[in-house]
Amino acid sequence: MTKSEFLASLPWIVAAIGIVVAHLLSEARERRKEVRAQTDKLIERLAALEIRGTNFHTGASFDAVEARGIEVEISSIERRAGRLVGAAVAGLADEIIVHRQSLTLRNFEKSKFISQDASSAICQEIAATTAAYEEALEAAYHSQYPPRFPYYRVAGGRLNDVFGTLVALWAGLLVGATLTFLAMQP
Amino acid sequence: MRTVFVAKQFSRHPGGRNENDGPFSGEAFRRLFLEPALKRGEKVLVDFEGTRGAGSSFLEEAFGGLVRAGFPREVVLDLVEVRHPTNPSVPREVKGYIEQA
Repeated sequence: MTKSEFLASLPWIVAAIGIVVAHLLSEARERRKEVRAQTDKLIERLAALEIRGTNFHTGASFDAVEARGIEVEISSIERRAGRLVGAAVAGLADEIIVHRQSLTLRNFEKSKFISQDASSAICQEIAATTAAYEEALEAAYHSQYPPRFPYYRVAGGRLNDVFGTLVALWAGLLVGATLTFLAMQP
Repeated sequence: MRTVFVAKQFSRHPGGRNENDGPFSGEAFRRLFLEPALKRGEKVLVDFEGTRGAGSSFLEEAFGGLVRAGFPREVVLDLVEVRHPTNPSVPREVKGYIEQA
């Protein structure tokens, strides 16, 4: 390929790279939106579980069906969280454990159940651990999808700054080349 | 090593602390599966796959209860292993109960 042929094909090369980059960014944006929606859904389920747990512990008597329902929901939320944030779920283990404990460790036995006041330590702990779990989910989401360009982790987050800088340089070069080309026209 | 499949051999809904709380309590599980194995010095893998959630009171009584029942903490930690493929926080929680009992 001669130099003139290469220069003639340069716009096509630039266009092809642009299409690939646009496609990858679009895919990443769609995945990010999907994970955001599922994270929001999990946070809604946690809020609903907080109400269920509080109602259970403030109930007049032990409700075996509701106790089982709460256990199933706790398990289901952890399973979903694991699928959603993948490896990052290991970082949520502490929040998941204290959340489960706040709901099911104390006053969760038919033989020793005592109806709690809404302001009791158990109810306050349920609220606190739910908030911590929600924050941990948000943190896991933001660790996967940082709130700045390119809005997703590149090479485990290590190359995010490099990637952003390279794209900015690439865009700057394109603008510069276009302006130079226009200025050179007779 | 002996494997105990909780969902198949005990209940898909293990729950409650003491036997007064129901037939699938932590105390019942400990007496039925864990204590006999530990008395024989046998390693036990407790597999929670297929269960639909287990409360902390169940876990605390089943595993922390082993230490209170007289088994040395180190022996329990050495012989008992827990697996929960969909709730990976469970083995860590169980280890905490054994260490703190």
